[in-house]
Amino acid sequence: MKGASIVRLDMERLARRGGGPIMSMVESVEPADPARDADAADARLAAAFSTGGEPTFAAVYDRWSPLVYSTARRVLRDPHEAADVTQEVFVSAWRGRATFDPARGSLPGWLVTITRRRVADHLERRSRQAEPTDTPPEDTGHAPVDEAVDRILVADELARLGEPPATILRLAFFDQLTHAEIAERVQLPLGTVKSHIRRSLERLRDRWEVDRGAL
Amino acid sequence: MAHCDPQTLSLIAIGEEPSAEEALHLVTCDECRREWESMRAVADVARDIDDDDLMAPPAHVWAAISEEIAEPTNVVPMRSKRGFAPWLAVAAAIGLVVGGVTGAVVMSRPAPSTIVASVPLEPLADYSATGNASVEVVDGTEMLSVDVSDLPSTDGYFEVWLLASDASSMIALGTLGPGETAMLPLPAGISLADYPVVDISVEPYDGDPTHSTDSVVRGTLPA
Repeated sequence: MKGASIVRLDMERLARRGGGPIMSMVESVEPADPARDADAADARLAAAFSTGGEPTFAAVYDRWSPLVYSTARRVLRDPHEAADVTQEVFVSAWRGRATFDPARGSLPGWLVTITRRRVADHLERRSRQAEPTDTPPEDTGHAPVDEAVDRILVADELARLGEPPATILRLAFFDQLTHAEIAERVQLPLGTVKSHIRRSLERLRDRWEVDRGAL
Repeated sequence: MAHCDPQTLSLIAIGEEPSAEEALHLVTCDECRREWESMRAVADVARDIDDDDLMAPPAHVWAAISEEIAEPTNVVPMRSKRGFAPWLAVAAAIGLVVGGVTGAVVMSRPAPSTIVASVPLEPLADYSATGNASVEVVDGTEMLSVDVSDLPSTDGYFEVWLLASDASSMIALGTLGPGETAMLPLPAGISLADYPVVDISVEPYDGDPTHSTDSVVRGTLPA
């Protein structure tokens, strides 16, 4: 089923956080807007990043390494190279963390910018190593970087919507149900479903516009 | 008609049919059309997303990163405004001490000295300078002795630092003398285990007491 792995990833992240049991965390989530708690946690991480030590850095890695790795994997189409890029990006991020200013941009946006640069390095290295052939330049075995960045940023936000917004959007996008059909399926009032769809879409759009940065 | 309400726009954005009136309004109203198009753009991206688009990297990646960031060499220190105040005070205090003690050392040489630790200094980035740093006990005082050659020409001056192995904090020990050597007292409260990296930087005369991030040579004292 679509979206299953996204849910699994979230549970892994919760589990790796250690500390409190997962169930009590779930129970304490505000039913109105679970994504807001996640936003607050992200903002705290970003604020602590430039001056924080290794524990903060490890938490930043935990939170945003899937974004970096998945973007690189999508562009390079090679999990080993994507792992190398992820390592390079986070080592750069650690060394340059004092140059990150949360007032000037988002942390995922900053990491994505470094990822773009490292991915470009790898593509350049590939084209230098490649034997000159008759292969047309558009058939270079990689996906466009912008498209990959957009897709993975939205996938990351989608994974953080929480329930029921995530299920509602999944039914709309992947099963192509109308809002009336969705309301029937999830047993929620029509108005609630409509309001979830609007809030989720606005949220996806706003986060996406911030994190893709000025590129 | 009045503007479309945002809920209606979001439903159209995910692919539901607008009424004839709404469709007409979207053609004529820039404001509503922009709102609808921005939501449709993100909906179009979201619709294509697959199960396995977002994946965590394999575990060995974090292991490699933590190993690499624990490595003290070639870590470039950054200006940290947060670190400014505490070690500005330390540097100022040392500056006062350096004058007096250096004078005393010069006067009383040769004093009996014991070398406690020593490390070669290797060039960084584009530089070719090399040298040696050693911790010596002179008359019961721990001193850092540095001796460098092939320093680049500069309009500024060279400053000797002790860095934490991750370069997250640092202590300015003093400046390098004209003979490319220096004998600088180590502050008594400092543990070399916390600040094992000897670093010499080129500093411009800009009145900024923080590290310029332009390091010439570096070496890590053995534990």
